[in-house]
Amino acid sequence: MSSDQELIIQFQQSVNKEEVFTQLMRKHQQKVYYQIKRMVLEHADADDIAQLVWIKVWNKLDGFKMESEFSTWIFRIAYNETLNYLQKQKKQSTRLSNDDLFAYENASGSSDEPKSTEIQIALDSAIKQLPEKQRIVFMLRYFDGYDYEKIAGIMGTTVGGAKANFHQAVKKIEKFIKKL
Amino acid sequence: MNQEKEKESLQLDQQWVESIVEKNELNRFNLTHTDAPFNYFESFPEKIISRIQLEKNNTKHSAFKILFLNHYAKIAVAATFILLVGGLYLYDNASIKKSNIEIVSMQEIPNEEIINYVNNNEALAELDLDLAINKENAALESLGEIEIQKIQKAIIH
Repeated sequence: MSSDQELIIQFQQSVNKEEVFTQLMRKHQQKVYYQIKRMVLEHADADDIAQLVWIKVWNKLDGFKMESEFSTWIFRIAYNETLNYLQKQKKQSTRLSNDDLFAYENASGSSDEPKSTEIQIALDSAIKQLPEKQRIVFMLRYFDGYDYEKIAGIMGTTVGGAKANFHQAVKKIEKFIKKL
Repeated sequence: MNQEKEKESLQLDQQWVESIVEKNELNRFNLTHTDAPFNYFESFPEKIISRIQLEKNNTKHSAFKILFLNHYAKIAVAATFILLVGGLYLYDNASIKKSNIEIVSMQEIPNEEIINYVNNNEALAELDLDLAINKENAALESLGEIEIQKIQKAIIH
């Protein structure tokens, strides 16, 4: 498989860009989608945003100067598009919704439920109650194993800022879990 | 060296999280939030490409419309210019005709009328002159004898 750089050069030089772009999409679409879905949680929203992201990438790829990694660039577009989408939709997806609380109270109140389900719901709630920035840093660091420099590049912040966000997120999760 | 340090730092962060929540639970959480409908990723690139092509076509159509609009705009500008030039030409011709009519009408005036007009004007001019002389006389009458002598001396010298 060609590297991102080779594909981008091919895209920028060729007339028939669709084929090269499809290759780039096949390579990165899953990670982009997962990053978005972790922030919005619903597939329909994640699909809408993912489409917007790839259309934007198509429109801007000719001007991409490869000063940063392609994956960092596209994750940053995805991050910004998701924030814009959430602001437009005025969805409080990062906050604990009434439904989540209801589900959590029901689960923790019944002693018949297996313990893992309780922890799952608690973890879900703990992560959902995090502010957007802390949540995305936590996901990128813990699940994707990205270094802080890349996370800072995606979010348009400093390495120190990314580290602080991760630490605050873990402390909040700990506090939330211990309370239960 | 840096990579090793980074790996170590990542491991420490992950261990910290796993000391709070079990790794299995974390993995299960990740799985539930990173699922997609069946065949979603298979059809996604085609969906995007067809959307891009649709947008391309729309852009072409709108560009075509703009061209047409420009064409109409050009015609409108040309028509306005023609109207302006035509209007000026017609206006100019009309004013020339008007002045010709005046000349013709002057020529058509009978000589008697012209003589009368001049005579009347001469009478008016004479009236004006009389008025001016009377004014001067009135001014001289109002002067004292000494002032009149001074003026006479000045005239003589």
